[in-house]
Amino acid sequence: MKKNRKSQSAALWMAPAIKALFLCLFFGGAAVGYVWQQRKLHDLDVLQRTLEARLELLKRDNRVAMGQLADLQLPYRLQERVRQMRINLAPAVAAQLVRLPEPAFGFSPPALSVSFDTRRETASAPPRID
Amino acid sequence: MRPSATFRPGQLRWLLGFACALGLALGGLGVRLFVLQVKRHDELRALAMLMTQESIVREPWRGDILDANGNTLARSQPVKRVCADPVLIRDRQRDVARVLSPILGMTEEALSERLRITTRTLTNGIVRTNRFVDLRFDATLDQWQEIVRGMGNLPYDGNEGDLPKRERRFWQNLRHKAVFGVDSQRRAYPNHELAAHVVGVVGITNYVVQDSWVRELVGMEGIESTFNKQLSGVRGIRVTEKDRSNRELVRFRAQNAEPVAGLNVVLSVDLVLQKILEAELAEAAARFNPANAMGVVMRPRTGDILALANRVTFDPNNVKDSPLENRRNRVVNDFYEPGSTFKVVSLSAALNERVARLTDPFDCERGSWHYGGLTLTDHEHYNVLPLEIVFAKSSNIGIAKMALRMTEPAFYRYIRDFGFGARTGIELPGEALGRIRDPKYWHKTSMTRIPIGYEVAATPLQMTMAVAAVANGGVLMQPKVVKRLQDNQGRTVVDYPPVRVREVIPPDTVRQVLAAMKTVVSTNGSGVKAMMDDYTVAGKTGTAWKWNSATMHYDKRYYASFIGFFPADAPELCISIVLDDPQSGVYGGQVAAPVFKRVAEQAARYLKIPPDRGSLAARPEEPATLATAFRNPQTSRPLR
Repeated sequence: MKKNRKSQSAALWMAPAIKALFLCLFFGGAAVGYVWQQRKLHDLDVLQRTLEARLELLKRDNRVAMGQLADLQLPYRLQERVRQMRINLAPAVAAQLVRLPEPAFGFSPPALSVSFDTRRETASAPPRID
Repeated sequence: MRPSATFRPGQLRWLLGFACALGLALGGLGVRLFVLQVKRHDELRALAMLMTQESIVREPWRGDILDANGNTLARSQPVKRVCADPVLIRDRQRDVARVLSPILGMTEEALSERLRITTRTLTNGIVRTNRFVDLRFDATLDQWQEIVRGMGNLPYDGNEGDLPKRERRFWQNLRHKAVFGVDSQRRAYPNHELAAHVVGVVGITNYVVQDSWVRELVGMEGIESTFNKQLSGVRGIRVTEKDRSNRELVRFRAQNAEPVAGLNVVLSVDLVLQKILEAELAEAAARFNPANAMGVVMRPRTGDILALANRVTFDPNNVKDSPLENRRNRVVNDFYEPGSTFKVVSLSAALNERVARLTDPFDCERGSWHYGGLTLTDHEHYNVLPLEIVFAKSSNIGIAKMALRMTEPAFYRYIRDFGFGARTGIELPGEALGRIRDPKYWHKTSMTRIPIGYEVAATPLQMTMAVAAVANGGVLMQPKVVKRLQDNQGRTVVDYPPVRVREVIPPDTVRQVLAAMKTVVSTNGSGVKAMMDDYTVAGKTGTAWKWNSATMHYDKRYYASFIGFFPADAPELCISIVLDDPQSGVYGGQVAAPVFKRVAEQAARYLKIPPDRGSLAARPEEPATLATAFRNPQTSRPLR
């Protein structure tokens, strides 16, 4: 009977201990997980900040380069460089141009005549200015 | 049954005492919590937000202004706004000023004064020190690099290793954090004076958005002003939180709207033509020394302005270096009495009203004619001339007599139809209306003065558009400087097609006016100096007395002008040249016509306009081939 009681009390003692251990592990794990997550978030914060700064810097450099390129491509700058390099480039003279016949897309005189007459008949006097 | 817990009297007292103390402490804490969380909630929340939250207004990138071929006329350049934190500088203003003053171009004393710590009291009673001092708004990136290098090498007299940790941190902050840069932008105009009046200039405005000061570029003149909204883009905003070291806590970003860059404005202006026009105006200015020289090159069929220039100009990069009046775009903002160039309108009206024909003879009274109590004179003594020659010789008397055959309301209607007395609608700010009085206010001699370009005021642009209407088969177009708006990927967002205003005269009248205008640019006319070798030119010269508003008289100063187009029968370009008060030479035919010719020749070569006369004109029986094209025109030998 005594032995039995002893073994019963040991069983009774172990169960809460294991529960407590699991609870401790759970809370400890959650805490560690929370800290790990916060740490990770912080790292991602830093990474995002760094990458954003880098992106801004690249965009800025890109703009600077685009500006320099646009400056170099200005017609009179190119002309200046051609003169400096003495490569004798010049626009084609009229005699060197080959012209292909193109259909004319001008206005249609009869249509405009009609519209002019129509306008004259229907137009009101222009507004006065004083 | 479990035995009930029993305490000794001493233990119970202790327990009660402890419980009371605990209760009191917790109660006190509860009260404090209530005060902080409930009673002072709003106040403390605002204070906490002030300390941790930050609203960053993000400046959008201003769009570029491009010419018709994509060349940059105005662009935004990345610069650094150089700022300093006096709290981190403490008493080392002199050391910092010594490094920065040569780079920023300020004296050491002035810089030291700006870096001094000052305090201010906010409306809620909080005392704040100045932690943000602007030192320069537009330091270039090279200058910024110099600043970073200079501050990083800030010397300390002594062994820094001996300093306590706190002092070492101070020096580290002083070198790397006390002076900081904020990304900003500056407007750059790589072509300087070229097309300055069209492109315009920007100013700077400061205002508060979301409790933070925003510094923004605002268009003040030209396209920068008219298209300011489209160029500016949309501001972005970032509402976020920061830590004790002023670093952003990205995960607490509440709002993050990216700024939207402004649109690029593509103009119809061609940089090469603009350069040609400005160079020729400069040469004319050197030769004739006028108060100003103005020019417009435009395409009559579409109304596109290809070049627009004023000799009195400015460099938009250094606006302060030139007087304010130089920024005035006189082609659009000022009006003048156009003189004989206005005879194009009078002739068109008379021919269209069928009150005169080009062959009708008019007595030019040997250069002097009394009418309505006043004398009208010509610069030459002509007798009887047919109307075509009257126009070609620019006889005031002949044109006045022609105009008298019309009724005043009819003539007035033509003037208004040609666009005088109304804005043309060009996309440039401050356009002048010009001035033409209602016929009921005309006096007896008005019908002899208005037809020759007096008693009427027009802007050079209005005059150009009126002549361009003749070139365009009698159809008046709206002048246009802007072709389209595009995003930074080059995709068109808004397109501005040509706008037809109205038909002013029908094509059969146009043909007659054209014939008369061609005669002007012939050996029989006043515009002989505008004749081109390979193109037929139609145009009109103008020499107008200048009204002196101080003396209320015409004095011996003139506007010399020439407006013409070519090739006359299929016009590609209409060019207007106006010289204000030339000192040597007076007549438009002598002063302005040669400028027209030089501009037209270079423009024709650049735009490869097919010649319609001379040896290079295309002949139907001899179509150009590769074999004939690549021959030396002088030797007829093949080009190598």
